[in-house]
Amino acid sequence: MNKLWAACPSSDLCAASFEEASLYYYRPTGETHLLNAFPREIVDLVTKQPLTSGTIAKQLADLCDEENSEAWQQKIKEVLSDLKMLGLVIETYP
Amino acid sequence: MKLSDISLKELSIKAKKEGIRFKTGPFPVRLKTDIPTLIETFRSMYGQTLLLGDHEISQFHISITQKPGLLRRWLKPQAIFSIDGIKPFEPYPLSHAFPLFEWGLNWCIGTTAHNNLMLHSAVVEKNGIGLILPAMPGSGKSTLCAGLTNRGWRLLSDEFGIIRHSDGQLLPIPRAVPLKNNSIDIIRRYAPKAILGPIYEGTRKGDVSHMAPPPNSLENQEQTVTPKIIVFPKYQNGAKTHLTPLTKSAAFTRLTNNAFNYQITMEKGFQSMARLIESSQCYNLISGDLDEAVMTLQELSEQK
Repeated sequence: MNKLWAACPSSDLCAASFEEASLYYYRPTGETHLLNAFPREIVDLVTKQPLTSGTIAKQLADLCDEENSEAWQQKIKEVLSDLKMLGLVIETYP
Repeated sequence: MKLSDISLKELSIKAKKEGIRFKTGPFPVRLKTDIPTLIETFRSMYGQTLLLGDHEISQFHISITQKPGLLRRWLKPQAIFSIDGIKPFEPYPLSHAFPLFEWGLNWCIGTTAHNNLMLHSAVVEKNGIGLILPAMPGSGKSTLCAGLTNRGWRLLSDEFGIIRHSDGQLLPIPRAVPLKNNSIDIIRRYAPKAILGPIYEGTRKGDVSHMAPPPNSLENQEQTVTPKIIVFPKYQNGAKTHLTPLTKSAAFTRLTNNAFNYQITMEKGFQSMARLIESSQCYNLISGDLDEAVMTLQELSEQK
């Protein structure tokens, strides 16, 4: 069964967006996180619906005009792992 | 009744007995002291401040008294600061009682007054434009603030940018501006009419002299201001004046690090900070010349 990535509950977050970055106040920890465009795009994608890391990699590769290479997919996994550590995304199963 | 309406003698008696009650910005304060030089300087700095009635409630009950003991009166006399009976600092030399009062009151506000978001910054206003100058010690913030207030800007504060959570307005807390070391002479030359207090030599910040807040700042201390411009100033000896735009995310990060109570105020702090950044233009200012820096900020405000 493929693991899916989803956004944390919207009730956990308070967000502010500026032109080049977004700021997230994460209520459970009281911490503020600053995300630049790339991780912000990932959070936006999984906010719409839970996705596998492979789907996220493909959609972002299309968006950024990048090759959906192994290195690219690995990079996506690393960012997802960082976002999970911050509490901004969670793992889920269909 | 204003502080200056009472004679020094009467004020000294009042300070010793029931204490002097006054309001600095949103904070009602009671000051009790038996130190004549403190009363004298306090009166010359804050003459236009309105006194509160003897039965009004004070948020901070400050006492600065001469350390007792017959020997101590003659050998290195000392002043002791206490707030609600607690003594948070080591005694200061008696002659430094006024800076002890100023820093002590700042400490009270910075550590306990968390109903608002508090930035470590100077704040001035002209034509309805609130200019916030957040900075670390040594950046030239106080000198620049003193320079601006002597060129038509209203002093809101040299130390605290107080943002009200409910509407994002800046609350004034006009206090004496502590000028350090070379800045004392710089402001004397720049603004010969500015009222400067005694020079306190060898404080933990070097030589310090306080510039009295201009009368209009004290008289209008209830008048809030909308923040419009945030400038992070940095004095660099010999540097050409250079104003550069700062991204909002960088300004947000720097301001959260600069705030006294961003972490404590939690989500309210985040929302107030986000609103402040969203509605303000943000810049870095590097300068080695006070006059140029003041003119640059004046031109910037005129573009708004």
